[in-house]
Amino acid sequence: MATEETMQHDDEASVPETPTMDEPEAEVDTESVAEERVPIVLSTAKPDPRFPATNQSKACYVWYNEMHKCYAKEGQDADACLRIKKDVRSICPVEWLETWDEAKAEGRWWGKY
Amino acid sequence: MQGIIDLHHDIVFFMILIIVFVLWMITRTLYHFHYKKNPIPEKIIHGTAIEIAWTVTPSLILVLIAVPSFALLYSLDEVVDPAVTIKAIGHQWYWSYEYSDYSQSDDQSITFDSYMIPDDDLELGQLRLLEVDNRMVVPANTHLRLIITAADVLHSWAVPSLGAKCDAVPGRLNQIPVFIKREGVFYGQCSELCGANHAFMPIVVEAVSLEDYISWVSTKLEEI
Ligand SMILES: [Cu+2]
Repeated sequence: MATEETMQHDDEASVPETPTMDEPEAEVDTESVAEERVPIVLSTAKPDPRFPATNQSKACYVWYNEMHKCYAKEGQDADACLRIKKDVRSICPVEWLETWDEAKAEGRWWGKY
Repeated sequence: MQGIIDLHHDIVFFMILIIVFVLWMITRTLYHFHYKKNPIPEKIIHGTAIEIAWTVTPSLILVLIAVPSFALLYSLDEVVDPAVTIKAIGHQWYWSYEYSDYSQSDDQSITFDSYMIPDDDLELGQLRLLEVDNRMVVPANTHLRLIITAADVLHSWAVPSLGAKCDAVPGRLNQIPVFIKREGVFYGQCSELCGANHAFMPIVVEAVSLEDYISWVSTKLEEI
């Protein structure tokens, strides 16, 4: 199974009918919406050999710290950091990230970075 | 999942052999030692050889079952290069799902709550106590990684048809791999006693084709 598949959704014709999903029949101008669409890439965090167990709590925490370490080193917009950020967001619950970001913003963060 | 089914079939095969053997022995004993046929009871009460045999043989069988069973157990933990990560979070008393692979900017994840549809709102053909308002939609024939956690108390995310059951523990992220081999709708329920409405927080997984999944994701992204 390929993990990275890009599906283009630029033209309406390629948008498949989804009879199983009960989407409300919204009156949206489909053409303008279709143009805005960014191709969706199916990709997610790779399994980390440091965390082979079922419990991934540490993976989330360690990646989050690595992300901030990367920020400190290379800046928020560095490609490397954005990649880590994507992985962090993939597995960390939104609520956790909010708590940690808040702690950081208020200077209560216990970590080094 | 296929591994679970195969192991089950293998074990049942040997189980049937054993059952047939045991029943055959019982029937034979009942028949040959019937009081009319065998009026004077046998006085032998001990036989070392046979006792060793009937102790060692079952243990050997158990060990033989344990080998593939452990192999399966550990292989179930293995997450093979997933294409999608979905977070399932247990709440009192509903599940919420997060898809965070697709949003470019911060604080933008596809998140939604999945509540049971109450009896009064059911439509014809919907399953009572099992249907939810927002299903968890996933692509079929794709390696999925599920991250299971809880926000308040212990829950357990379980869908028997997918061979998936995983405790949802607050403060802990449990990861399970799932691979759904066909499109369809799969039902499950919270499987860890979590309070008054424990029975009313079902799980519905809807496996769709990759294209349908992509278009579902894009619709969801537009809603944000
Ligand atoms: Cu529960």
